[in-house]
Amino acid sequence: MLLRVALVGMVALAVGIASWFGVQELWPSGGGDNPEAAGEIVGGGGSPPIYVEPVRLTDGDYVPPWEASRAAEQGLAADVADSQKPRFAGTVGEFRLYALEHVEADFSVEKKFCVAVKFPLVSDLKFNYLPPGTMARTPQYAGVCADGSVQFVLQEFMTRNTIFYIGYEPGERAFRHDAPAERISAATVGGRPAVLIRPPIEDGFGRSWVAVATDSGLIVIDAHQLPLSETIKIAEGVKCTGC
Amino acid sequence: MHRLLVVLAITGAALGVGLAQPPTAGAASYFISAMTFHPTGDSSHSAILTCGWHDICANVYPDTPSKGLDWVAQGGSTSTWVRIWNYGGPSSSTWVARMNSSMPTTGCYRIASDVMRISDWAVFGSVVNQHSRRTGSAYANLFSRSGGYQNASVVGSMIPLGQDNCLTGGVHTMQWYASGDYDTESGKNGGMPKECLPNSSTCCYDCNKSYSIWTTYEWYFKFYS
Repeated sequence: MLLRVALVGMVALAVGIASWFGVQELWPSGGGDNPEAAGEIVGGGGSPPIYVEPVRLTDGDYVPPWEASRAAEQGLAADVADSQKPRFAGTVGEFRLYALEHVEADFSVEKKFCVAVKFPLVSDLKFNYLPPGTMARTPQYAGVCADGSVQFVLQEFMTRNTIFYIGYEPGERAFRHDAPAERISAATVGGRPAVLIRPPIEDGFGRSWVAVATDSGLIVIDAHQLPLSETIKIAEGVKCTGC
Repeated sequence: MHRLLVVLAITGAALGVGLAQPPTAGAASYFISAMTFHPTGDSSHSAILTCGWHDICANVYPDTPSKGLDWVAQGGSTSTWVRIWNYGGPSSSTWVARMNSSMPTTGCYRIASDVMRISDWAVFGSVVNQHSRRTGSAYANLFSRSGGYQNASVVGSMIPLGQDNCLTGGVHTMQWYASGDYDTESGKNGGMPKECLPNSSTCCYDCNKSYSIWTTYEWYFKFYS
């Protein structure tokens, strides 16, 4: 009996090893080009730079309200339902808003950009508040056009389960969003004219935006899965040199 | 002898079962090995590589550490796909992750397809397609099984000539993977051609090499579902 158990065990061991190596064989090893280091940058010349691994900037772990209240599935359903509504195009306070579907129907709706040809690292934006557990997914970089003008300055961030982009765009105070009119309102953030676009549910699931007027353009935060209050807090903490 | 058999039986059974099962972090968690494949084409040899691993495709190599590959489709389709082949989990198809594709507001036009854990939406990483765009956002469920599961969805389309806001040589998409901290490991396929190595047969600059859509991976990443 014991011999039989031992044999079964050894067969199981053999099957286990075989299945493990079977998967490993199917599984690529990376071909010897396998960088993995926080802070190491790839790209940045002719395409936007990214960190090979995100760089942690603040301690802790941000738990968004939708996670705490277990409202993710409700948020997902609300986001999908919201996506069926017509997207807003028009002016809110000092800002012109449009969605990609308007651009696809008529390209003249798109904000006028020069074409960015290089992406140098910059440090124009300072962030006085970032949520706990924030990581930078990219360094801060600019999109610079052939004539030396700046199309945008951008840095991408994330927490465990949120993503947010903080950008500065000179020129017309216009930006592309993806929301119906009912989620959009004019406001003031840090004493400056602003526009707020709420996420589909108050607990923050889905996408939201906060745009703040600067002297020469706008700062826009494009947030995924953050409640509006947190996005406003981030926006209030953004300081920009020469914006 | 009996003692040896007992040890062999217990060790063998434990190790055998342990290795046969995916390493799990919880009852419904599986260790998944994922690979990204080409964002264009829809049949054999219909994904056309126009530039090997590069930062800027300019026939100058090496550029700064390169991250992406440029693709068009045979026949001229401008659809942009995200294709992810997942290994791991049980032998039957199992839901292991979600994907949300959208177009960030600022920066070069691109579609970011974020891959997330089911339980708490923690971000494993993102498949990025520059020079592509989409309206709205889309969610997709990603599946896996021990023998492999091919996930594929159209996430948008390539940007028409004259409408891109970042330098481009024509209608195409450049795809790369951006790690999101909750993958355990990631890396690119060094076996794919580089942009160009002088006097090398392994380079690709304006080369139009054709690939079947599921034969050669681009990036890999691993995660616990």
